Amino acid sequence: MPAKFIITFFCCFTFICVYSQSYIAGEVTDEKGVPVTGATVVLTNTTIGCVTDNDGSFKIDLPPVGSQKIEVSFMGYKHQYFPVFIKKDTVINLHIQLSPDNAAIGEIVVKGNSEDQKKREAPIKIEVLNTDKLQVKAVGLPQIINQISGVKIRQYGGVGSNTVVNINGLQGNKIRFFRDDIPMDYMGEAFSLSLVPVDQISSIEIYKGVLPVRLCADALGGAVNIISKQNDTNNLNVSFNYGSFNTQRATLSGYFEIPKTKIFTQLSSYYVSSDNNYKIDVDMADEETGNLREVTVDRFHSGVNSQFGEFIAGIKNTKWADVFKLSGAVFSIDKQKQNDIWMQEVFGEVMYYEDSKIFSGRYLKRFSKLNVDVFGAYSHLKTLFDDTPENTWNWLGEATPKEENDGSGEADDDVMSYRKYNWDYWVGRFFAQYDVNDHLHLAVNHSYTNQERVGSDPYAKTYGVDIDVLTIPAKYKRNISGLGVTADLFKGKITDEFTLKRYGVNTSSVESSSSYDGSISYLEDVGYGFGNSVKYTLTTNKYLRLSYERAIRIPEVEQYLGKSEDLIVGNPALKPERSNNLNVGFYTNLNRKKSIWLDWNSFYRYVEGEVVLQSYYTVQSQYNNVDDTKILGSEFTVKGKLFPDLDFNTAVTYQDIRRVNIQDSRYVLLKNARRPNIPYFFGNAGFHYHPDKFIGSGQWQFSVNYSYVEKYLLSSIAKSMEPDLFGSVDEDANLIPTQQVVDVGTTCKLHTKYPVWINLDVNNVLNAKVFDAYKVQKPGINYQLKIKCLIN
Amino acid sequence: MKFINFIGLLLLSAAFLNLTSCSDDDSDDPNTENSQENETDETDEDAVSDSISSYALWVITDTDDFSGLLMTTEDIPEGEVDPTTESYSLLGAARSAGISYGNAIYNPSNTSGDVGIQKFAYENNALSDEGFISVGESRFTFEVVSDTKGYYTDSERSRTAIQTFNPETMARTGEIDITDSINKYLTDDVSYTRLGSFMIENEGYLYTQVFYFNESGLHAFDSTFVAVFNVETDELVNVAIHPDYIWLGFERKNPNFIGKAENGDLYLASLVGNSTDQAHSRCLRILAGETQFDSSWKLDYNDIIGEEGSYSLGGPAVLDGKLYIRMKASGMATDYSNYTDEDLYAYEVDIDTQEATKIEDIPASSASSTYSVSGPVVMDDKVYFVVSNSEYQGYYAYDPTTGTSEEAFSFSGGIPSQFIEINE
Repeated sequence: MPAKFIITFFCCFTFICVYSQSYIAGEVTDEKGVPVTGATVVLTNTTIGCVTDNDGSFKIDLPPVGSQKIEVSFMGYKHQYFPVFIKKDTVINLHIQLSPDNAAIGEIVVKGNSEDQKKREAPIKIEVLNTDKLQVKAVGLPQIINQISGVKIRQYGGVGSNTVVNINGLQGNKIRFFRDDIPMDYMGEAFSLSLVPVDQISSIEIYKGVLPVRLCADALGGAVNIISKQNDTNNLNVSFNYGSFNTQRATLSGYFEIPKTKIFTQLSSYYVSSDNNYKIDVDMADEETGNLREVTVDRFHSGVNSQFGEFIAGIKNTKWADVFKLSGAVFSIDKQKQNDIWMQEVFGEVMYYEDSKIFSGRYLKRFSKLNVDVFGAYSHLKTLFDDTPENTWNWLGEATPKEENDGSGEADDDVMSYRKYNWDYWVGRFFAQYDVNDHLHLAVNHSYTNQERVGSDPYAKTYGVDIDVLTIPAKYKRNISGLGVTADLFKGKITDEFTLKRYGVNTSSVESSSSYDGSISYLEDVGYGFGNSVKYTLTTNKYLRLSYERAIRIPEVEQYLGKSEDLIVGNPALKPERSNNLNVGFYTNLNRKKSIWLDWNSFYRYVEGEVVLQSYYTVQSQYNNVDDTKILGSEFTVKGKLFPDLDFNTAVTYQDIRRVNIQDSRYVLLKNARRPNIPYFFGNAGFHYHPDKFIGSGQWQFSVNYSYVEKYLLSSIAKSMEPDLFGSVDEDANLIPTQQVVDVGTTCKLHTKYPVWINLDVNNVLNAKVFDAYKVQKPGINYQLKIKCLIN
Repeated sequence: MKFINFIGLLLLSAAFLNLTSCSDDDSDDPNTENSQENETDETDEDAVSDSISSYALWVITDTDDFSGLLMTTEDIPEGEVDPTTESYSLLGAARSAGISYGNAIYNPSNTSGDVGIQKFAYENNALSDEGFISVGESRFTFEVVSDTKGYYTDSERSRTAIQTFNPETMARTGEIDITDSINKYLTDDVSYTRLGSFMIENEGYLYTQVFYFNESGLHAFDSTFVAVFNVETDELVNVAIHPDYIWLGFERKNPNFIGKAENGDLYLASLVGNSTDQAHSRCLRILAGETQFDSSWKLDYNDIIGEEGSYSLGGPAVLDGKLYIRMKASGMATDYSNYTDEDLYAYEVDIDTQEATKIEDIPASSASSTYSVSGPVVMDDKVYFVVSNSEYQGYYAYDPTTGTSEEAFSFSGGIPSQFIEINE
């Protein structure tokens, strides 16, 4: 059903008496009358135009005299056209009300884009990636997110492989993940960035360094918040993507309101499968001589197969609840594992399985000035790591039966593994915000996570202890509380957001299988952090941003108490990692037409007592606080419209990540050395062409993106031995070479009357040799075709 | 106090030793003068009198990923050495306890960190890549016995055979299968077997250990098995058995735990042993030219410190009837509470009387870093001991004739991993 367009178009010709020159001005609002920031207003077939500012207003100076047509566009809303006649020294005032484009490429997004824009302009540095226009794209989320400055999603292979998120130089468990503001640990891999199709989400928020109070987590370096799709009209969405390496992604989702009731139901599901059998270059030993030779082979045993389904039922807009919903979800994944991170060992039978059942409920209500958001969830995850090979394998996929007296696994030279875990998660979160007035808001948040793990492994070494220590529960509780105050000061010139957080952990586990005497170790720890973010508005379209946070990351359970099966000995004396995070940013338009924008951000991080796994006694290891890390970096984004139908986006990041405060003579050579295996200079440039007319009656879009990653080190070396930042260097086993990748794609809506889109993406057009994490090679040139249908 | 079961640490060692380093060498063993003589005898008679010694040093710079540096020098260094200059960068350098044979260094990994035998030719104080033989498992050991013959283990190829290679062409040449001899001792308790941990040639015989593991990963028998090969015929001549299980050598770092005396006697030491007693260090002997253990001699390091838990990180080097070892002055506590204490000292032990003397003027090291098990080495009639603690990294030279020590050289940073002599 085509959406009902509500357009109020006021056109007042007002003659401004003498001496004034002509211009067109006005205001753009959404269907509810809320000003829309960032909407594009241009004169068609010209490059004259601008973007609406914070209060939705715009102004076009000196338009050409004569008959013109004004085009107004904004993501998720219908393009609007208004004829005007420009006279000399004439002022035209317009009030333009947009309406949602339910039939647009983007899906129905109740959470308006203006809301995303508000987040972008919050004192805390947030990158909001609205995925509306990307719904038809066949590419995965990592490829999309990597176009954001300061952010690198790094994959250990192809579709479904593990990912590491690096934000402003910090990565791994220093970054926390959320789904709709809720810490996502309880979901296992169900919302892994390398799995979840773009169709399943509405937007992605990247928090750089400082987290607002509504995201309660012990993140040192930022967070990723995945916003699920929110619907308010009935719809059904089906998509299927088929591509190289037998990659298949299918989604089925829908929303249905029972007529004449306030009950709604929602379905989200996806299926992802890939053989990931792309070509890689590896060093392979000659069977006879043992000498290495480089060969190009097809990957094998690298496939992934995953399914996710979630059903939601709820009511909304009642007296006692704005929204109350319950959901149940199931997820499963089978992953093959072919190699180690150095690409030196070939596995032909190692498997990872995960199955989960996830139940949750959420209650949202606004009581006058008080907003309440309550969430609870329980999930049960079963995982299995199976390393019980019957053969040894080479890179060609050739198997040789193992000898009878060979008890080794593939991932472990000493022992096989059939390690099962059962994980139970209980999650609770309470958030409330009280709006004292339009300029002062108070917020409180409490997040509770209880995780319990029980496992078994018939092949685990027992070291003389007559019990499989994995059968003894390992428990981990985390309570994080936060208080926040947001205030607009000096008539909105300054916006300040202050947060105070408390982090508490309580954990118990067997410390070491080789030292188990029947006792369980317990540990409690508490820490505090705070942050403050200020935004100073210079003019309507220019503002400065300054934020600081004293952040803390509580060590994981295995870091405190060890991981007995992996010979990691506990360290109860371990201290939480702490960091000082500072961001300074500036946002402005770069041209008078306000069609090109600059977003610049510089960041400083100082992490105290990095937690690192070190050797302990002869054969074991232990997490210890070691040296510090200092990060100094800068990033900028320039984006906008070169022409009315040509958008562009450029992002460049440099981050200098150094080991500092090294006192121990054993490591002093690495004083001020770069942290290895993290890119330190990277960027991208993308263009998006969307002509009004191209071929036939279809709506066409074309995109091209170029990305660059400067060479970086695999392993720490002394600063004096580091290669120059740019320029060629001799081939070095310790360097990942400079990488340049080009991706292109096109999308076509076949006919304006039919809600069917077809997308073709060609990734890595230059077939470049690409690495993301250690020496694991990523796919060369590959093709993805996607068909999407949206019925309203 | 928590009881620590050390039994499994033997198995655990496998995991750890994967990450540490190196192979061994006997005839090239720089720990003894004798080994130099043997080597030059076998390689180039004319070179004996004209041989010039140079030196190689391995330094670990980052224990996170075992990367580090390999540097060479024409003389024994003096003063403070900056290993970041004129060095060869190695990934996986912690694995490195390379050996020297002729004018080459054989390292248990290449510069990319691939596991295998890497030959670096040494000329004019510079190294060049002379070939690499890949090994399928991260833990292995090897030996070079002549210009054209070497041996190594590769459990991925076989757990009951040793491999042979040609150091000149740096290519594998075959394997010596001893399945029948190994299987002779199999019982239902044995889950899998393995060869390796140490490998050394002496007086025409090649020695390497045979392991029998049960399902728990523990050694199935309280006995030490060593396979003995004739290097002329490449035939197994015996499986020597010692009635107490000891994990001899230190896997790729085994040159640091195997010493050869001037008279050709072999001294084989280790950190850990069977599962029935607390882990502690011991040393066994095989007399020159013999294919059996010398049942009349055994050194238990517990006797030296007078308590359980003796803990040695390197040695013995052998010189003039004395063994030189690095050892904690007190036993390792069962809860590891003294694990990081800097009390690892140099000792001199009389072979005949087993009387031990702590060398007091060499500073203590920490036992906390098993990345560095650089054993004592004999050069120019002096014994060089590594000193590695939070304040200092370097080597001290002990002169047995005076009974005194002095600092030889220090590093500006990094963990010394190995110090050998190269014979050009």
